[in-house]
Amino acid sequence: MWKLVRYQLRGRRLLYTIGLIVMCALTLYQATHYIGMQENPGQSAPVSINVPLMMAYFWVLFYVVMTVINIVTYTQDLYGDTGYLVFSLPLRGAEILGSRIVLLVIDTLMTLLGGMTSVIVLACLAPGLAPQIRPWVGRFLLTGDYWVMCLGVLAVIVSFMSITFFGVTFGKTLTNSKKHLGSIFSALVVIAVLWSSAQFGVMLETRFSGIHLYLYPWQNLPILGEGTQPVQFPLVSPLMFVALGVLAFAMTSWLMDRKLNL
Amino acid sequence: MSMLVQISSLTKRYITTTALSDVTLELPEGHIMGLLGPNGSGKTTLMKILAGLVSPTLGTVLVDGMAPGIRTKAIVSFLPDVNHLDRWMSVGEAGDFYADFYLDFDRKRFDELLSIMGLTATQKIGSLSKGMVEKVRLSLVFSRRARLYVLDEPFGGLDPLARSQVLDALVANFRTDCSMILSTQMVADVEHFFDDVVFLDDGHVVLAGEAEDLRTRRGASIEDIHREVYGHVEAR
Repeated sequence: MWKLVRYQLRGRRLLYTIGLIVMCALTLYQATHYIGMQENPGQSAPVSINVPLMMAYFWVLFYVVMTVINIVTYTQDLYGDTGYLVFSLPLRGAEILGSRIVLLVIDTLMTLLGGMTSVIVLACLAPGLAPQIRPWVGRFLLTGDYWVMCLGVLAVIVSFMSITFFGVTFGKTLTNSKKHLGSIFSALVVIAVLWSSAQFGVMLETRFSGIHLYLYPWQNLPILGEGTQPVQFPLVSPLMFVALGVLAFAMTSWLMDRKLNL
Repeated sequence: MSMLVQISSLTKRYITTTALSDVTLELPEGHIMGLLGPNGSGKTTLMKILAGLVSPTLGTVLVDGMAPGIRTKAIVSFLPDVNHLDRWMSVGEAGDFYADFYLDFDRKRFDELLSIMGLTATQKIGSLSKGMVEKVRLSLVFSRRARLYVLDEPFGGLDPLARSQVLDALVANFRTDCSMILSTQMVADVEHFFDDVVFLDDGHVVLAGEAEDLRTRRGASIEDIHREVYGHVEAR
């Protein structure tokens, strides 16, 4: 599996290089606008907070692009000619799928590290930015709930991708060479699973509302974590989603091993 | 003589079509089998089933006594009829890829074949002509010391000189402990290599047997028999 990850990373080196250069350029572009800006009580809070927030949005966009590429290349492997290279290998379906999940985790870590580096660069070059948050950054990063939430978000993303891969694979096993029909069918499967899991999640949250299953990741960041309704992170529906993701992974691996029609 | 491939009552159905219907055949160790038929006759589907890329609907398929899966993929060297290599790879990286995943890949033989074919390891797949990509793919497939070679239209895109180089490589690398299944429309060029021939039409085996026996019984070359069998297809 790790050999396949290495090979897929090699195939993406140009894409990563271009993506990271663009993100570096964006960070520096943002920073040059605020170089030398010192703490100024007259500076409006929205402006000084929005700059790092905008940078975070850019990184989210980077992540979305990488995720879409992950789905597209997997789809191409199933419907295109390069699939013969990957699926002819003496590897189990779980290993091929696992390599895709590892790539997703690498993309996620790269985005997180890149985003943090961007914020640090911005903070160093423009000390006047986001004075409202600065004193609390160190403290909220030390919150246990915050890191549990990060792990939870990662697990939900991985589960989402597992469900998507299942939809694509299921569509392919049923429709063989009819690419468009297969893609439509795959999309329908993914939408149906996501919609029903969202409905089921809401139902579970309501059912278990009596039991206090929430995280408070922002409790050390007064802007978000205090007040009458502090921002919470629910636990029940993500746990259900992760269970669905594990099921989707197992079913996709089985389909790859037993029912694949390239 | 032990049978390397045993196929019994194989049927492959898709939602709207039947690609293979009740196909039964065997391939002994050390034999080269020509798989002949017009487009859509089921040749590619049969080869993909042997390569473990398509699952059968009904029937039994055994490669070296095993149903197609991870273990047979390790001993089957498959050449699809389309370019399956990533365009970003260099020729050398494609060799590295095969060496990483296939224990039977012989790097030295790969370098020798590249040299015979006039290719270098630094050339990018994306920058090669169709014929050169075909040579790279054939070099990769023949560099494996596989038990079964499954070649789907290996001469498409090759000029006559390159075809001759490939055929030389095929003969030089063929061992008695392996077998080969080869589909081609260029019957005249390769028929003298065939030990066995299977004619497929519309998913059915319409004629099969040892090549020499067919020639003797029908008093014609395999190419002539091919024309005779598929005359109705050409006339359509």
